[in-house]
Amino acid sequence: MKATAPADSKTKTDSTVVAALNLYLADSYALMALTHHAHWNVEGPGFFSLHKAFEEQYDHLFETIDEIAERIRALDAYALGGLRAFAKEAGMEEFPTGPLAAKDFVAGLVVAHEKALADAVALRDAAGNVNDLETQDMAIGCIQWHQKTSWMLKSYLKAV
Amino acid sequence: MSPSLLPSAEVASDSACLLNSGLFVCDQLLAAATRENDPAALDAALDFRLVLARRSASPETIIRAFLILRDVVQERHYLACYRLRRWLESQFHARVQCGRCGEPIRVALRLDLPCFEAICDRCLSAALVSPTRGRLTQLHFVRAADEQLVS
Repeated sequence: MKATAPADSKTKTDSTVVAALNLYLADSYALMALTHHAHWNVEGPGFFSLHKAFEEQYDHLFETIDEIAERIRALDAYALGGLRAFAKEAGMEEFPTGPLAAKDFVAGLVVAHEKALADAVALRDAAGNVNDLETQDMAIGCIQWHQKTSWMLKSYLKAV
Repeated sequence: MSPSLLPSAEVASDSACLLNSGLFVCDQLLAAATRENDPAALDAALDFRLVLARRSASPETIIRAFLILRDVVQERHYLACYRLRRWLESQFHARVQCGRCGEPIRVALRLDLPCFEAICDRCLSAALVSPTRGRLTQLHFVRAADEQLVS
């Protein structure tokens, strides 16, 4: 089994990896807020199932966000923070306030997941390039979750 | 209509943008309609693509073509229609002018309405103009890019 790099190795504090972690942190926080907004405002025949599904998704994101931020700290760097900073960094489109079709909430979240997924892939590859296997492993788990969640959301949009 | 979810790092952020650009989404829709052997969807998507690719097409023509496409394909391809709708809403807006001397009011477009007339009525309402507008009220759809060039 390959040993991990020493704690003071350059690979552990590579700024590319930290930047990618902070971007993905912002994505995850923004996605959590979007999902929470959908959880509150969704209406219609699919209300109960969507309301519950969105709750499970933002609960998962809340835990993930903490893991990402603490990974950044473990790399001896500082985590991004604050709603304004997260929104600006993530650049995700937000839902309007007011009534919105349930399918629009779902479609909007699919689009947001795609953005987060793309940045998780970039994080995975950045970590791999500097042999930061621990960060890479975390990113792979996140990628899998986005893929699974996207599949579920897209399934809801399919006409039966 | 499901593009690969594993882009390489170099195109990771580009792919997220591509997934939401008008022509790319339209091409994905054409591919899906071809696979599904759906002539009505294929016709509507081709018509929309032709209009979109034609630089001289007016915003109103493009919006009307989108509404026709949406009526044909939305039930089977909701996500594609959503992406096209949001893309069009980012590319165009409405300009409402009340009277010859009135200051033009810029109104964000929302295309989640059943028909073109309803979209126009919403633009007028947003500009605080009665839908039964006077003869001197003008409503135009404008490309955001064209306005930036002018200003």
